[in-house]
Amino acid sequence: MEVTRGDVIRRGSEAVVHAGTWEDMKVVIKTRISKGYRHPSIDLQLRSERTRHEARMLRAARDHVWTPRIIDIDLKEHTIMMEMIEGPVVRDLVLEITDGNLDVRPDGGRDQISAIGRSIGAGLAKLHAGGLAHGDPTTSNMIYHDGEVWFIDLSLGSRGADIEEKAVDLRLLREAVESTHPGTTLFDDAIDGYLSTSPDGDAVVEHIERIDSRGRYRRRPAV
Amino acid sequence: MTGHIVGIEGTAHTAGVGIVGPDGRILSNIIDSYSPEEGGIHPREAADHHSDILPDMIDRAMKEADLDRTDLAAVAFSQGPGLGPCLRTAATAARALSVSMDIPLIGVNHCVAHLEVGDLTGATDPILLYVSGGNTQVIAFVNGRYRVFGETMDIGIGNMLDKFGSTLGIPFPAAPVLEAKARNGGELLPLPYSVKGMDVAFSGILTSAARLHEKGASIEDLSHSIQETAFAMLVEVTERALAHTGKEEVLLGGGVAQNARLVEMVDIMCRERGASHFVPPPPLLRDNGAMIAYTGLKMFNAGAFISIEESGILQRFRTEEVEVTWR
Repeated sequence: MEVTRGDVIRRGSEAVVHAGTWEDMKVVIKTRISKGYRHPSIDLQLRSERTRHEARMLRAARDHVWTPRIIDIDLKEHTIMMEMIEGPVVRDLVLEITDGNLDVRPDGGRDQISAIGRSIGAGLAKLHAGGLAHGDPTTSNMIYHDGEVWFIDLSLGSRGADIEEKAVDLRLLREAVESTHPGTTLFDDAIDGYLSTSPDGDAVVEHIERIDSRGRYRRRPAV
Repeated sequence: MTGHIVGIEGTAHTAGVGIVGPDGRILSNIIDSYSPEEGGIHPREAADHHSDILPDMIDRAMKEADLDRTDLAAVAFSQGPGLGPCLRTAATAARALSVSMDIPLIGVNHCVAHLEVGDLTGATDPILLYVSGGNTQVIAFVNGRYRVFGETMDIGIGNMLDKFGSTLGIPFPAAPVLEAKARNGGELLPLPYSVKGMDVAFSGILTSAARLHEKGASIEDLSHSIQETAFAMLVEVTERALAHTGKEEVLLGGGVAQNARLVEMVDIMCRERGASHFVPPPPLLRDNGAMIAYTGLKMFNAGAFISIEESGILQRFRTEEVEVTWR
């Protein structure tokens, strides 16, 4: 099995993602990097645990939504190799569509936003129906490919999600949209998509308000 | 000489009075902490301590700055968050000065003051890792507001350290003692590493550490393990905030930031990602009046005054609630 590592395509605070090829297939390799500030045993433990957790989440999510197929996991190197999903990151796509004044754009722009939003909402509804919470549903963690929204990073997700965690997902999405795509209908469209897909969607959406009304809970700052 | 601002701090066990000039220079910064004979802080006793000494501290601060009360343009005070009785004492002292000198009153958010005073270290647009007894937050100024990027879901890091110390019979504040013990610790004992998204929790560490101690683990190993685990959690969340905002500076604030191991870990993280980090000197790191005065000056220049009626204390004053008109 020939694996070639190419350019870094994404660099987060705990992982780097390289483009690469495996046999003839385009892949991405996500590597959890060592942190010099933490004790070596904590460092090793976190990287293994999180690599394993992310792989489990991706596999579990695959039964419900579009998500990349895992090709290989290396717990020694703390890497996950998965198929590359080609297409724009949803964040960039939406920013491109909404660049400038939406009102002077052809109607197509609005419809496109609507379709993307509904697809995001429907995806979250399917994840939730499968008992999974996403944990970090920002538009940077989604790719638009073949007319579908793909969820590419579920590392902060959890299984056995209750109504609270589901509502938190929707809140996180709302905050991400408010800060990255303000003035768009993206969140409302996502809720439409969510409600029309989820059997208990009404209860989850109502629960958002309950969380909002708790004084202690802060508005999470997605930037 | 006019246009000076006096800042009165009193959110927890420390009373502080600081004075800044119209140019933002700190002219005096008097700090006096209440330390109980035994056990933790009793808010009422801390407040009694503050009300006993604040009038004298104001005089000393004026004298050290070589000023007369007529040189004051405004009085700023820590309006919250904090312990009710302590906040009330500071607010009362501030109102009295405001009325007697007929100068405006400025209500400062204590957490925001830790961020603002970072200017004096050379930081320009930092992520603040604020670690004290009661507060543990990662804060930054983004899109016109102060925002909390991560925080403790249960107790503050300092409280956790002090509580653990008190189970061992170490008097308050225990954190510096534990830091010294940690240097002689060798073995890393397993403690719960609890980071959820950008938030942290410490009570699990406290429970596990107490259990390990009962089973015979040494104080040295436990102190070492608690620091390594809890600080790694804090640094991780700080790094996430850097990545999330695209900012390139970390500022430390709060008494726990005097811990050399925490500073070292922040330094390594920043070096690994090409960010810079700033550590104020201890008198500006811990709770103090100068940071209240300094933030007060910025608010003064923007006319952000409050009336006596609006000067009620805000025990749960949230960082995000601050209406920003001065930046």
